[in-house]
Amino acid sequence: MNSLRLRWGRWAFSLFAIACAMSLLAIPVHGCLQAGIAYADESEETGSSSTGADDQTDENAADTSAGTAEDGQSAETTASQETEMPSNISITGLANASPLLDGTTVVFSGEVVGDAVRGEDGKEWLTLYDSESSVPVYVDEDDVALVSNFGAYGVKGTTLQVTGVYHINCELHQGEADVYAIAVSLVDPGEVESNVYDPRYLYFGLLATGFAGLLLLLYYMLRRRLR
Amino acid sequence: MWPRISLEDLRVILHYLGVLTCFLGITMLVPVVVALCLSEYEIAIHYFLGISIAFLFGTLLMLFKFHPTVLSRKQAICVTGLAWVVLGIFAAIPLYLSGHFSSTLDAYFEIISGLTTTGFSLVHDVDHLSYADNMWRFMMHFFGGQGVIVIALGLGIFGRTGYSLYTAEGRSEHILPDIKNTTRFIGKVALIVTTLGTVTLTVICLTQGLSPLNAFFNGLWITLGSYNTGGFAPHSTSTIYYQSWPFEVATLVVMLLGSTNFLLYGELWKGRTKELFCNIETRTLFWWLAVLVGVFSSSLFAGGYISDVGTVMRRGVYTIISAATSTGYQLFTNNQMHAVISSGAFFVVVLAMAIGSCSGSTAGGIKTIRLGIVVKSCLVDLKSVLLPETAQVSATYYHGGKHVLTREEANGAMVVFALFAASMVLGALLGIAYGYDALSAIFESVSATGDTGLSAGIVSSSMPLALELTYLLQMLLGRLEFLSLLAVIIALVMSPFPHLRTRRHTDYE
Repeated sequence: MNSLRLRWGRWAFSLFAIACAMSLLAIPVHGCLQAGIAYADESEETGSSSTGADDQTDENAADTSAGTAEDGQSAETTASQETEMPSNISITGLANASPLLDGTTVVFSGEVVGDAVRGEDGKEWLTLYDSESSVPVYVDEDDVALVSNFGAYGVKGTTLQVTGVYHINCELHQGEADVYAIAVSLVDPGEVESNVYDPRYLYFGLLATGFAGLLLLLYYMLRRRLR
Repeated sequence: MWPRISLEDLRVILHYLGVLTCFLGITMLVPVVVALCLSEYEIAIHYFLGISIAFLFGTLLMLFKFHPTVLSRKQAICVTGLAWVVLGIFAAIPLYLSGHFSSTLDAYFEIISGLTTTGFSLVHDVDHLSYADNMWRFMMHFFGGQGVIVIALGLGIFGRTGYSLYTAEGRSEHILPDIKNTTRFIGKVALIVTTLGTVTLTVICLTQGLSPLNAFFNGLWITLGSYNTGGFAPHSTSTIYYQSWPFEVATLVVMLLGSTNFLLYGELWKGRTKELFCNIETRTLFWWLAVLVGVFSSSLFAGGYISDVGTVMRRGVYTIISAATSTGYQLFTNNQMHAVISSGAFFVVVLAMAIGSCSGSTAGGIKTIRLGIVVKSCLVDLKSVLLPETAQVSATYYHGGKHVLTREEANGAMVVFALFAASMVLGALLGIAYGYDALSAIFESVSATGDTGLSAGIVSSSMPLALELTYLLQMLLGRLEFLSLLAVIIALVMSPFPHLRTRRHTDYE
């Protein structure tokens, strides 16, 4: 019994040790990747060609350009920091943004979803959403008046264009990733969508209910007969 | 010799699966009522279709046996193991029809994630999901957290069949002498906590400016998600959406209540407050959380991005408790997980998810009681090495009374420990093989096995099929603590070959 226990014990701890070792090995790998991102970002800033083949950096770049293309806005998306001009970006791009974007002014559009949530000092929180991601935006109460429809089931929310400062780690809101709106403009008021249903589901449901009723009847009849 | 399922066993198992499927159909009336009250007629039809299909197949399955006898242990394990898989198929029908999923497998993944109280979500555009669909998602958390079988036993659906089903769902505590009353006690505790939690969160949501209807539903859903340690959220920004620290504190309390062993509630109900301070689980959990929060906070400070104590306390404590209770609500966004949190802090979250919280609760993971038993067992081994060979070394622990730590208990804890670790490692290796970052792959695999639902970004509708199936299996194995589901899989695989072992045995003789 004792040897059996020891065998189980060895097996258990060998596996656990492997798991721990793998995880520990992963830490320097992750660290190296992060260092790679930082290096690539630095290289971009200094104008040299980027050597960091990191997915996240590529995704950010791709999202920035994709967001611009999708929104059909200005094609100029680059070098916002150099020119001090706000950069156009999609909400998905913001959701995947690198720390380099922290504190920069960004311009993006999105549908307002959920409710307006109360903030401090006459401010409100709006959640803006594109087709993939969402971001909390801190706006003045007056800006909320622009929202005629809050996105929900059956409601296409008002689409707003926001110019604001992005924080990946907002000090005022204890580490939140948010955007402080500077200017908010209306793009599309949104609308209440009509509730369309497919009658085939109803017919199929009625048919299945009929069959289920018959089977249930059969079950109770046979159950009584076989007692 | 491996256990096999006879034809008679199969008939009984199918009958009870049919009963449970019909029961699932009845529960779909809740989203139907919600949909009709809120003019979501299209959604009401989806659930009507779901009910009719569940009844059709449920009745068909019931026809396999007209007068089922009391379930044997083997049959009970099979019913429990298969119930989660089969019910998920029927529960996924209305969700798939909502049009918010890329495929039927994604809808099934969502349901299993809900039932196993994991909280991984593959919904597209969750902010536009109907009230009825959200209600159904959170009901899955409730069924999974309380236990599908426990609910059925509490409602008397299985008649006299009880204990074998109860234990097969990963529970063993006897809070009250008989199973039916035990399950009803669990139900009463859930009802009280859910009511109090819903009222509290609704009031907070109202003060935050949400409309009364949204405040009520958000309060109810987040309470169901927190108490059942699930982690679904009705908004894409998870609990960040509410922008309220009282809301976060309230959810933390509900999460901790959900991850507390129901045995402890029973003991406190009987006035035995000593259990709270002496129980091996609560003590291990306390020290384990203290260590994790300490290391996580230090790591956040040392990382340099976060220097404010308030931020560390708010986001650090929340993240660790959310991970350790296997709830999975996030106050960090995905890019913050990679950019703001150091890899060390990331790893601490992995450890919190792996160990999880108390057994006999709604939480997942290896469980702190096993950690405590393994540590005690190691200490016994160390002592026996140091003391003379003739010395008898033993250890005791407190869990519903004082117990002597037996070899069988230590062995059992180590087996489950090993199975969890093996699943986590294999899932991580698959993620790494698909080219994902190693730490993210480990994070996701541990999150799936521990039924936590925190994500490093791999789980999405675009993840590879093999990885999606692996996470599905890991969620189910983790929720049923491996042995039930593994036993079912082995029994099902071995059953078509009834003479395999016998022939070899005869040859050997």
